[in-house]
Amino acid sequence: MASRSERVGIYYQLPTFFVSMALIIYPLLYVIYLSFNELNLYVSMDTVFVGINNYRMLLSDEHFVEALTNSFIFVLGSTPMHFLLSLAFALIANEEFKGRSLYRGIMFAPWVMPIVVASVIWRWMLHPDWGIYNNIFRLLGLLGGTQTIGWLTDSNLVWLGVCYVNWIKNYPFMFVNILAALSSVPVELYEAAKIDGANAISRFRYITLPTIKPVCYLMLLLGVINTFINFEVIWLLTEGGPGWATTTYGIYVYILSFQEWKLGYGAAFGIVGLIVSLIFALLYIKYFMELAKK
Amino acid sequence: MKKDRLRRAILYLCVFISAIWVIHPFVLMAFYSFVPDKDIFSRTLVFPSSFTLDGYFWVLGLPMSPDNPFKGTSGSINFYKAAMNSLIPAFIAGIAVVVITIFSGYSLARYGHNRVVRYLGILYLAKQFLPWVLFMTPYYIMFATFRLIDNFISLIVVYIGSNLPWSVWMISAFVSEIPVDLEEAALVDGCNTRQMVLKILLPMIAPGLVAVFLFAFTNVWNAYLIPLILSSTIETKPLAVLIAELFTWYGRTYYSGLFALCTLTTVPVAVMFVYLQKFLIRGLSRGAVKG
Repeated sequence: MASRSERVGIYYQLPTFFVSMALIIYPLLYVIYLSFNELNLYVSMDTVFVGINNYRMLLSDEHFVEALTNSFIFVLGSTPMHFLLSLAFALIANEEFKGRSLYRGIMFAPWVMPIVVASVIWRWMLHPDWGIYNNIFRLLGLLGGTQTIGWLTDSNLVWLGVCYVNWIKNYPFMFVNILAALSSVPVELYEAAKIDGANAISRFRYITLPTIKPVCYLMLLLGVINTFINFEVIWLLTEGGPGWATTTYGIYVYILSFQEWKLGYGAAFGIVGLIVSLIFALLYIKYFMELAKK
Repeated sequence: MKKDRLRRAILYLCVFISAIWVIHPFVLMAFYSFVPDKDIFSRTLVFPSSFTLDGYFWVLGLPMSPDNPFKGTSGSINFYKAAMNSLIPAFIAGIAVVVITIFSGYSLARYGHNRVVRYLGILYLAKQFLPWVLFMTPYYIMFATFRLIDNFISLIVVYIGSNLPWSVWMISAFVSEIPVDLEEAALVDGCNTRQMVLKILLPMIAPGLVAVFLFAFTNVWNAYLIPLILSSTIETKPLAVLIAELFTWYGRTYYSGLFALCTLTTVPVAVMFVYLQKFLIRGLSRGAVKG
């Protein structure tokens, strides 16, 4: 009886399983295969086996290390700030005040804005000549009338520009999850602590923080991975430029595969990045399963 | 009490500043879609001298004011076709994801103790960490072999695949909140399985279904990388790709028109979101941590 119903459970997984096989497992195996081959679509659809040649080429490619380094810069510039913003906004949104549900909606809104739309708006707002940010700085006298700041075109500032846009665009997912964790903290605990004379800081430290800690770890891991593999934000803001300044892992895979059409070489570089992100993924899954058991 | 009022004031100040910061791109986009280009191309911050609907007329292909240099290209961007190209796959993929994940989500919630089911669940979760850009090559080659590049079928299939994993966990979280006893009680009271599912289970996880649909719909509507690779002509090109191309290809960008197009692209998802944000926020946070 029990085994029959267990089988039903497995049957129900079949549709998702088949779709995942076709769209995740098969492509993954194909990319691994492709990374040991050369494929020139202009000549033919057939692959030519080249062994570990692609990987050997990576070692002498100056952009290989640069792209990975840039990805880590992007992660370091984005994820900690995402976390701080999300935590701060979630703490605010967890307070009782009029218009709280509207506030929660607004704070989640950047997730809804298509990344393409966001990039258009930001490329205008951060434009050196007529961008509204520079115009505001000129109005405040921080910038001379004819001076310009290329937030997205000056190679010294481009990371600040890109990360700033990424902060405002991609924090909502973390925010929602931290907010959900905050609202699961039992109110009685706070009241008891208040009676015992604990101030706001120690209430946060000894009640709030321990409760939301597991979620914070999960979110930080997920944030690191999502930023590391992100392609769209940077591609749409700078296309990896100026020069190679913001060419991250995702951008370089795209350039290699779909601009230079070195599909095999692009796949090899893709696999290297995949391995890096899988390390974080394993940590995430470990935490996730521990939480799910509780 | 005085301390309490100070506390409230600081809270409201934080609320106000953070909300303004988060929403200013939206507001400026909508505002400047009504401002003529000559006021946008300015090195000083001034209140616009006039407002115009030309940007919207340009997008929708209506006659524009005679002195606008872009009046000749009004309607040339194929807005209606691109909007349908965004809408149709988003809708179909959204429905398909809901239908498929009802089964796997239910199974993950109820049979999660089974080892096969549990490992499948982890497998779906792993998709979250795969660099999506890496998958574009196999997709491109796969669908080129079947001659499905620039075809809705390939786009919809990939959209479904990319939205399934998270959705399974979201539905599973909603199902696991419903006591098993309720299902058993219904069966004891003489419901058959179909009645139990239709009358008890589905209505109870309805918010979850709405959340999953919304999540998938918005993801597809906003998708950029997948259509960038898989669609090549206006036959399947969605709004997202159209906007990106407009911004790169046109020698001189027609900002009012571009902002109007951006506003029109954001409005449908934004409206849906305002009505249904509660479901979505609930669903998203459940999928991530509770399992």
